[in-house]
Amino acid sequence: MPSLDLLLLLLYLLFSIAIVSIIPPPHKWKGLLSSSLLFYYFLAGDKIIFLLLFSFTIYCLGFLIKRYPAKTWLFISLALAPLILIKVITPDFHFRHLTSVKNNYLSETNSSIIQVLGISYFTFNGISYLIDIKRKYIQPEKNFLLVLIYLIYFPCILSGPLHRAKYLFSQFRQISITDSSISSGLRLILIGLFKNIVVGKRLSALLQNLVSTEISGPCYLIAGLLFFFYLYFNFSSFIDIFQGISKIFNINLKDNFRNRIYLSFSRQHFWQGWHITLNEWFRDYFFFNLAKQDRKRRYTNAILLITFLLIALWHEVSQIFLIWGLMNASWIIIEKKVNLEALPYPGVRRKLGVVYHLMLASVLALVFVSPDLTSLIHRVFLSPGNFPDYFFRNNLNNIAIIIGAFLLVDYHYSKAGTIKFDEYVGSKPLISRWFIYTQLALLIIAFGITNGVDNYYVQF
Amino acid sequence: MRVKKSVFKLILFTSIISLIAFCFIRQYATSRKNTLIYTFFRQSLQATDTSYYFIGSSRVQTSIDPEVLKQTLGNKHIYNAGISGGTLLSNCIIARRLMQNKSPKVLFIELTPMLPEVPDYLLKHQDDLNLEIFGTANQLLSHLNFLSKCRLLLQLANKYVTSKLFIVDEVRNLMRINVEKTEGHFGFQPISENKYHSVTPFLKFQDFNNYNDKGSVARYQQYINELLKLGHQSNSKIVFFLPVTFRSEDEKETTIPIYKSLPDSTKLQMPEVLLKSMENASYLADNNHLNLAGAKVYSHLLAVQLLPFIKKE
Repeated sequence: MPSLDLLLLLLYLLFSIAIVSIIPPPHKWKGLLSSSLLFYYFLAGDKIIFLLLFSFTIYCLGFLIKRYPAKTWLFISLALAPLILIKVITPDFHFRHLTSVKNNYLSETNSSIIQVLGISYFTFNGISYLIDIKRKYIQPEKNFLLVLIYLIYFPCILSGPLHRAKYLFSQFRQISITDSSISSGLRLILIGLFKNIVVGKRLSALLQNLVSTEISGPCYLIAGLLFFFYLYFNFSSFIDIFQGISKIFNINLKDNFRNRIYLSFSRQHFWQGWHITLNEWFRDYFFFNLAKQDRKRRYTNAILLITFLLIALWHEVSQIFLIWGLMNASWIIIEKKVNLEALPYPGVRRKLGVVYHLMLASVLALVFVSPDLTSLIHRVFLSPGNFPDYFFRNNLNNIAIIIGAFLLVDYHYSKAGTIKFDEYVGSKPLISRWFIYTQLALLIIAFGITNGVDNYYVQF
Repeated sequence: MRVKKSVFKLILFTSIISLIAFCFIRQYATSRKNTLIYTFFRQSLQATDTSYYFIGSSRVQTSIDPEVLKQTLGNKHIYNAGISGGTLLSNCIIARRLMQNKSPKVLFIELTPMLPEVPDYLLKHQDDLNLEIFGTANQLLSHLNFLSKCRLLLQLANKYVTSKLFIVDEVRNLMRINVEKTEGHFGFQPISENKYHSVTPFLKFQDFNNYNDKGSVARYQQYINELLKLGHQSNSKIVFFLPVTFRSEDEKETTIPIYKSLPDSTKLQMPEVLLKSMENASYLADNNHLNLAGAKVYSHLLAVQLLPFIKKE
């Protein structure tokens, strides 16, 4: 699995802070651009030239689209077709490391531009920039370097969150480093590291241990549940880290996850708080476009289905993801038909809803922890139910640490409510703040599984 | 920019955490000089007779019983130097350290993928054992361009720094968790259980025809050559061998073509009869390791293949 070395992240941060500090205010963003480019070069080598070329193409297309708005989609298709093609012709089973040891071999060919640079996010930002020009939300930016930093801003391009150009351009122009921005940023980085290194990595290890046993039948659902939590802790943690890095420069990246998303009481409720910026992107640039044509709202469900299939296929053109997209869309459509919100006893309904959602989400997640559909069916339905009794015995320490760490994160998020972790900690008295910092830092060095920050979504 | 306050706070915070960690490590760290690996290296570096070492991962730890080999081959200088989490890079590091003793020796090295990783256990002991981790990596990677080399050395540096910073082992000692397993990181480690009931993990003779990826051969040739050159310079013979179990197809894809490309004099033969005899689910501890019964059978079978390399005393 791609992993960002802690040392690399630290070097990036220190280098960026140093370079931004010495550049005068109106040009500080150029410092951030330089550090982004340098680290891309370090990770991807000469392949960075392709990214620069694509960025320049998008920059030029901005002016063409302003002049010929009717040809927007033609321009976008022509410009981004190579990227989409690369994505389609280089499929990989993204969750393979859970079912086999996908080795990260030591070789020169290690840094695939797709894996390292997260071309998905580059493409999403490129399309967003061009469509916003077509819709006249923004004017084409005259400064190529500003478009470039929007497209390849180092933390964001790896795995989001996604932003509209207008949202980031203004922030890039006002970059500054202050005491409060450093404190806020470091708080987010701290909780991100805790979630990734202590909870996420331990969940991943536990899951790998579980799927390598001969577990079968309904017990196999536990693997799905572990994967669901693993994905949340992994994905949300590096969003926290990237938000934290950006926050140091007073850049506010959008939230991508609702606090305590695992307590969603329905699939609709879940999707409102999961990978928020990607969903907004599909909603704004795809779903609404189609929905506009359907004035009588006859095909809303069909459009929803197509949107989910597209989201799934963007992750990977494979049978597994197609099924995942289909199941997600069907689930939401069924929920809408049943209208869960209309059921009586809202308190009880919500509590039972959490159990119902977690169970079905675990079923859905099973698709990813199995090498293929046939072996999944065989393991769940055709094999006799079996849960290896030694599993709990052998993994007791890991399970205890995961539960303790999870409860700690959940406690903080329950107290934070809807506000971000950095604001929540910032509102506490000095002693409490330092207690939280020390507690998290000590737990990281005492229980963290080291190396780096696993970055799952960089693969997409 | 007003960041003096932040710098002061960061220094204070880092100092508090470092102080706590330092006190903790002093109190609960295992005395490195009493460990099996320390004793092993001290004795190996003083050896004058021809010695035979099996270097590799936990699969070597669990599958090669040196006592069986000693009895069967009539030589008492046979050692299992397998290490938990071992990679080809860590194998090279251990081999290089053993080569510092100029007395004749044969190093049997397990072929595994060249991961840019070194087991934490080795990193923790590297200062006491004088292991040249970065020197070995630098030498092995000498054929790479500057950027690729930097990238991989940074990964190693990251691993080194985090192994020093994190205190997971000390916490285990404090909580008395897995104390009996502390020595389980190095040397022969038999497992009596049989928790896996399928023959899928075993290497099969037809696998030699199924995997032909030339790419991995070209990539690994440089590493292999470097190692053979080092062995030649230090009176050591290097012999590569394949593990008898594999956890993944990816690993087979990488290592089998390399094994096939090696000249017969630098590899242990894996005849069909050996692989067929091993293909028994009751020999497995889990999906990647042999259990004690498997290790006994495998060591006896392996002894026959070792005859051209190991002399009777």
